[in-house]
Amino acid sequence: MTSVVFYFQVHQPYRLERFTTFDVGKGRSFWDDELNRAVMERVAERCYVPMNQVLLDAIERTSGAFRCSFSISGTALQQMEDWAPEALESFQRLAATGAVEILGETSMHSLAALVDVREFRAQARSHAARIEELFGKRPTTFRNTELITDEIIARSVEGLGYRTLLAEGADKLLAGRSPQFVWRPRGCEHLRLLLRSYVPSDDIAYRFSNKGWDAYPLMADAFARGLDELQEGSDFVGLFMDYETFGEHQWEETGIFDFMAALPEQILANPRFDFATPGELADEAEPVGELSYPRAFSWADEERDLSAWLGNPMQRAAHEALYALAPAVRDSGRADLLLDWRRLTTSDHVYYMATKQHSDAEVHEYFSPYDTPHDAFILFMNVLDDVRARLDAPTAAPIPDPASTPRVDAPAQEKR
Amino acid sequence: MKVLMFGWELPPAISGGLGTACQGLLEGLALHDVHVRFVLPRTVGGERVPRGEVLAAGDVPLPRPIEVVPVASPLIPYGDEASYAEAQAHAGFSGGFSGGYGATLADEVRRYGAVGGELGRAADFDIVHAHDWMTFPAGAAAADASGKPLVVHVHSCEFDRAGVGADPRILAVEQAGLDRADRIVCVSGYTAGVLRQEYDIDEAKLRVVHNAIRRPRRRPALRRRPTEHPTVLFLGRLTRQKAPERFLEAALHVAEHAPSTQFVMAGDGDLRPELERRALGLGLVDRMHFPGFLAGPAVRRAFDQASVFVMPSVSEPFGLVALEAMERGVPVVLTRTSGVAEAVTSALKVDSEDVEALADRVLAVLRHPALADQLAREGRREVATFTWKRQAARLREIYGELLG
Repeated sequence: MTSVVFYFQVHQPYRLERFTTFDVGKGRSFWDDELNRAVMERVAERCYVPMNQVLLDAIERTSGAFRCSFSISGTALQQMEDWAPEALESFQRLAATGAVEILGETSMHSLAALVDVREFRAQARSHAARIEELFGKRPTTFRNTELITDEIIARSVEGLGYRTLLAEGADKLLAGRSPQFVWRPRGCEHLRLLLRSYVPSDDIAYRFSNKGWDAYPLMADAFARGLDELQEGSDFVGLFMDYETFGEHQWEETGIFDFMAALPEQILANPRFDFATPGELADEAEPVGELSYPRAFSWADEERDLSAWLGNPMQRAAHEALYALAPAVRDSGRADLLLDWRRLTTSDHVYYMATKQHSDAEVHEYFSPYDTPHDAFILFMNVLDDVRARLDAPTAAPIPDPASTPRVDAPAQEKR
Repeated sequence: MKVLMFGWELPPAISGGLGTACQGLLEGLALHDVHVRFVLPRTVGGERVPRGEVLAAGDVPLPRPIEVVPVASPLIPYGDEASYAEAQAHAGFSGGFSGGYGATLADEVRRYGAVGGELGRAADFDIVHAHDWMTFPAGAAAADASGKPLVVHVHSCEFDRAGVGADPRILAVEQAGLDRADRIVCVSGYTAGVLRQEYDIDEAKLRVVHNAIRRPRRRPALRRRPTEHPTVLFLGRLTRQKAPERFLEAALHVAEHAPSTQFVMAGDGDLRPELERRALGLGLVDRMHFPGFLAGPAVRRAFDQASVFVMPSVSEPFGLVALEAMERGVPVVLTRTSGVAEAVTSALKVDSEDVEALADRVLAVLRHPALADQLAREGRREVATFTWKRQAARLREIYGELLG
């Protein structure tokens, strides 16, 4: 029996608004709440709410035979709670069916695992607590931001008590081996590694509405037949993708909802297939062997490496400047500052600074709220200056007080 | 394919952007098997038209003398500065053509038109191509006389140069040429937009061919820009269109946050005295330098000393100087109201009235070496794709559309 393992990533960052160097230290918020709210409301309406209904119907129709999993970033959860509570409730209804597993990740969808283990553990723990609080179950499966994984990260995940880890089935990692069996990352005792099968995953996530694609238009029966050709007696097929694929990247008009509504029965009609959540699969299947990581792999871009986030000097400079502030921010004991700083660790901020050529650039541009990667960098660095200025300042908000220590930019303020 | 082309200036005679662009196009067209007869008001010797020929309008015999109507005030086609100084030098030149931009310009444009008609009669070419308004009457006359299609090329239009203060006589000549043309080549989509909006030109006639730059024979290695006493450079005519006053205002913001910064405002023009006065009034006098008009090696030196180049123009058909800065490895900040802004990605872009954003970008380049290095490296790589060979290929396609 081969299990189809669906994992959907739900994520929204907190985007920044215009913030020039002249705004630094003035106690202005740099979050673009208007935009963030508008995006959350739009995505909830177009994707989360209707797609959750499609999946809920599928679970009910198949009496729970259709199963899937979600990872929902903390930044997405918070924005949903604030601006689209109906979407959060519909996720809770899904989780309550027992056919849906909610995974663990970093609360801020951050790159902390790469640089700051203490921060990584803090974000993973706080997110796990949040998931338990909202969905009633502590997560046992983890996925790191953008499926970024190497052996060190895998060990950290194991150290946090997780039993299963999701990752990319990159060609260069597998070197001819199959992503459709459970592996164990080298250096881990018992952590099960479930890999993404990127071809069928991207058939849905990227190619579905591409009229130039030879399999267009993709129908549920054809996709199910394709999976059958692919399974070859394997344990599972990992279909991992962004949840915003449904209704947001691929609009409703493309037929993506109808496709997903029809798919469960098409797959279950084949006696060689069932559905499983990652945790369930890991319980049943033993690792077939050990996988060693020559470097970190992610699910992004052609290279499946870290270049989408740390590929150019601007990205690396921003990333370093951000994490250099970590100790001071954590030690400051200021909750507002820590929250702002943590929201800046969301990987999207450095993703917007990517200067890639060719087809990947289109994907990056599609996601960026800013005009250019350079603008994204400048904005982010200005905001970091503001965080730094607040760290140095005696109080959270600058209160004009002639008796207090003069601030560096005080003369500039007075002139305006 | 044979093209009868009307220009107004061409190196080695002192020339502005128009002459440089025409030279580049001629070299590019030669690589695509296009024979060009390039007509100038007058030649100085040394003009190079590969696979073609150059002709001085004064050498074309006219069947009967042209009636000369003196005009009260001179037309100034490109504002001032170099062309203006040159115009002064040519003033009083009466026999034949001065090829300048002086008091006799209106008259010369008309007589040049008559020469166009005369050359057109021979009809030994496939296309007529005219560069900017001074040559539009000549191009139109040649097209009328020969029945061949007319391409007019807009490197700059009166609206960009003067805005609401446009000279109605120039506007009339431009409008007539644009209306008569079978195809209009614009140096940018930005300029095409101006023509649609301000001259009511039909979209179907408009084509865009961006400018390019010649690759220098020697390209110096990219250098770290000085960071201790960084220099912010403006280079262009000190005239309304180029918005040097925005540079000054931004400099004030920059100086507040980075007091060791130096500012260079290179160029000459009608706004210079006022700018110098304001720099003094704003307390920038020890940091704001006015070296005057720069050319050749002095331009390269200015680029090499600059940490960042700023082009704050309010309306710039293309803005070749930004490409030159990028080729030289200088990070560039420019306004979106320019053609080059649509053509490049490796430059920082701001809205033209947004002085605070302009200052913010300048400060960012000065403060963050990662950003400056990235812009320098990417910029140079990107500029390498702007070749005259490629742009001339676009132009040949446009000729092809007309010949069917």
